Amino acid sequence: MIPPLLFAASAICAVGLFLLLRQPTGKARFGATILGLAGLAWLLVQGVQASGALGFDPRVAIMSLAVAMATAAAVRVITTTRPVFAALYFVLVVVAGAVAYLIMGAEFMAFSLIIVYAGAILITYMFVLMLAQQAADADGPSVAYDRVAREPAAAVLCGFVLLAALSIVVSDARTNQLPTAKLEARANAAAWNRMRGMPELVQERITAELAATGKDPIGWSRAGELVIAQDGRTAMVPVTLADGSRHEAVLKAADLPVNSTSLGWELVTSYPGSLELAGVILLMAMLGAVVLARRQTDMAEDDRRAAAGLPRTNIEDADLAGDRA
Amino acid sequence: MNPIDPQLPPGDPLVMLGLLASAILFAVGIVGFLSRRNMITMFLCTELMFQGAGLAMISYGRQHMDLSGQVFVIFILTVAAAEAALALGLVVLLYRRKETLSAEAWKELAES
Repeated sequence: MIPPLLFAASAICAVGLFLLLRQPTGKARFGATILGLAGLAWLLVQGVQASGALGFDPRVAIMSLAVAMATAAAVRVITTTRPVFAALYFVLVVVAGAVAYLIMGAEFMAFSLIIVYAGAILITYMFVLMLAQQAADADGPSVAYDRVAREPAAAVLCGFVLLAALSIVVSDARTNQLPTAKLEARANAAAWNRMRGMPELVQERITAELAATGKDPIGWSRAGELVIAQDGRTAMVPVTLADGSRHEAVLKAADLPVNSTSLGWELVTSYPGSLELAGVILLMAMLGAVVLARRQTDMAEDDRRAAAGLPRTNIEDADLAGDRA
Repeated sequence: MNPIDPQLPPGDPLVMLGLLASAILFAVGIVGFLSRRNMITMFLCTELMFQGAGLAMISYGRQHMDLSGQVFVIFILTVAAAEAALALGLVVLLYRRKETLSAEAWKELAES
């Protein structure tokens, strides 16, 4: 990506967003949307070009659609004046993000994103919106604040200086890359190593392999460790069959554990401390939410003592009994 | 900063798109946080920024063919859930005090 072109695309996006933030109606709104989308499209085309990939790939098309959907929904989150609609558009951002996760091979995280964000966090937002509802009337929100964006020019300038800076980092992503062969070898070795820790899965795969190659899949036993092939694409396990003959069971890349299995393994073997810490964070958040949500009661000191089952002090002190008056 | 270097192996266009999307989501989140005055919308904008961060993690994880990126998204989700619970508790508390969700109502907290 060439920085001046990148900045130009970012600037077009910025102008489009600025115009949309001023709550235009009719043709002006249409024009601003087209301008913003054009800037976005240019930015994405530059991104795909900069990756140096040739030819058409349906995954790239779907990913571009997901990115465009996420961006459009995100813009609606910040331009709509009704918080309920903002929350619903945010669900759309989450769904588009989950599509992007899926295409990039993070299946487990895609679905947990939908469950946790669209399922749990957004419901909490909806509850709070209902709890803190202002007296609404039939023809729209009656609130006087937040009808228009405050200082949209300064905010957009700030945001898009950030976008330009971030996209320079993004364009460096390719130059910082290790050679693909080296990366693949490392990733394969890591995957087979993870599989070494899952003897039951290895057993299942060997049974399947024996059945597929016409050998007796019952009564065999392992005769050695899993050995990774030179290129890392396959691995061999020596086994002793039921009739006493030796056999080298060959496991292929398709036999490797699926994404959620590997992710769970990585989580508990490489990051056990962080996992515990995450639990502590959630517990603390729960306690904090309970403390925050407690209804504030106006009780005098003496009444509190009575409520706690302690004898009253019978001190007629104005400071202690003041709240009862 | 060199533009397109033919010496390099072709990168993954999905990674590039993911990183761009994460940058855009983060920038839009910042713009929303600065320009909106409804406290709930402001917190939604921080969630947008969390989304951007998560997408960047997944993209870099794919680029390096490593699972650590995905593991970190789990922690991002954890922190986002904790943040949502606490922030929304605070919003309800602030709403009870002033009967409005506007951040302008708490102007006196600013220094000048």
